[in-house]
Amino acid sequence: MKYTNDELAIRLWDTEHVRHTMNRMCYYLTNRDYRGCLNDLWVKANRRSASLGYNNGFYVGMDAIAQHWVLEQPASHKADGSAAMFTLTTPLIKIHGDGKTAQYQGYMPGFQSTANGDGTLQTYMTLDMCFADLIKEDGCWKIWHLILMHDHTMEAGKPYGKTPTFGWEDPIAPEFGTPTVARELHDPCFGWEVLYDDMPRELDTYVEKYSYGPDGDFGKRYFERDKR
Amino acid sequence: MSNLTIEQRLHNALGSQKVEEYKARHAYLHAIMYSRQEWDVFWHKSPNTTWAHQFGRMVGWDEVYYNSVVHTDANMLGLAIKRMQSMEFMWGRDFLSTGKSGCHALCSDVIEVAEDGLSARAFYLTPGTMTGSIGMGPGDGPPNRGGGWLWERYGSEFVFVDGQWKWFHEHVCPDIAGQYDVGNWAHDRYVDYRSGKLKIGDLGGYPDRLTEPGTLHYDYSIIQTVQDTVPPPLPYRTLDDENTYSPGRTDPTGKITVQTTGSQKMTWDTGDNYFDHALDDVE
Repeated sequence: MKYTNDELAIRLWDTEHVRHTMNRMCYYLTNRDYRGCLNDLWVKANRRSASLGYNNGFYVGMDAIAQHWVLEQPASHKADGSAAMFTLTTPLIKIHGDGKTAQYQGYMPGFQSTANGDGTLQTYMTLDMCFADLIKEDGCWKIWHLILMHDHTMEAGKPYGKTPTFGWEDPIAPEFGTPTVARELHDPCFGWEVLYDDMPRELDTYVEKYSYGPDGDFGKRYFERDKR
Repeated sequence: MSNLTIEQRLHNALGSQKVEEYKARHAYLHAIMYSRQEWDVFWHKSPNTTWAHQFGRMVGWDEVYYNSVVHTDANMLGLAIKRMQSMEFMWGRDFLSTGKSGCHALCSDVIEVAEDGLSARAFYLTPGTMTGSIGMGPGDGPPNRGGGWLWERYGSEFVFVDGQWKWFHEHVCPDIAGQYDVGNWAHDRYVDYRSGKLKIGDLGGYPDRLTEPGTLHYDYSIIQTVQDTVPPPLPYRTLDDENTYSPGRTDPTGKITVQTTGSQKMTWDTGDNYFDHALDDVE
């Protein structure tokens, strides 16, 4: 597509704005302030089609997302002595040709330390991948579809390389809860074998099939994506 | 830079964002060993295209492509086939990427676009991960997870040719690696070095051919001094020998270049890959 200088300048800043929006999300996640995150960064006009994805499926609609993130938030997140940090690195941002929507991918190293109240605690390094569709509402980029794809939970001081590939329950996994649309989006045992098809791509406009929402192809294996 | 027109400033700012996109796209594609998907798409095909690492410098598009795509594909496919034959759960999985989920995460970038708008230079640091759930060990061993670090620095250069930005030069400098969750990374390397398990330069990989072999950056040893192999770029006018990570090869057409003795077939002792034995001593 061809753009005027004014349009190019807007697209330039849009890319930065998308990056900043996602980086702001890290601040809210790190503070466990999910209510603030939803209020400040998420869509207002597209509430019904908003979604939050984990390895085991999607919460669809802002009510379901708020129910999971805010009302069902584990008590351990707010317990004294608990801490977490989520960082976004390696941003890959594509503004769609019409400038109305954008896609984001980032690699997300972090940690969680959970205090048990009896003087013991667990500390984990976590490695995740983050994907998002963003949409412009009233001139402002908002998170529309978010996927927090979880890969590794490595307990501090224990050799992760000695942890079995199969038959091991990731201690972070229970936090995914029970999504409203159950679907396996990611099996960490098999790594990023469908990542190429899920990365942000050059598109003239938003395309549902390539979105990070529940009607998109995210996480599907090749034979599930296209009928031949 | 103050004399640039608004159009030139736009061009350079968009070039800077394109560098960020290419670097990120590479980080993810390299993580899954999808090599064609980057080298076929956003690399500049020139006799002056170079790709350097600890082990030396690949020179020219043919050598870079052969090592990075053909040789890499052959190695990865061989490993995948070996695993598929011995591990039933690997049946039907992807040949290149299955089990891998480590990323040379990119941060601390310094990007400069030349005043003439025809090139860009970038410096990055990476607190990279070398993680996976299946293939983090010898190909004929059992499936095992890996939780390793790989800290590196990168010097990268791009050219604007025929209306498009393309990747032109890369210099990868691994500084240190280790299991994130056990031991003392630096001391472990010292102990492994003393016992003969580890050679300096072990983090470099094994290219099939090289025009300029030789250690271009040393991974950590206990006697190492600070290395300033790929310093961040300063504002510059044009890509030249004063402003490049690949001296003598700044002409994108390849007409002006450094004479070499040509591409040499390399032989390596691949039996002591660091990540194959990183957990040997861990209880």
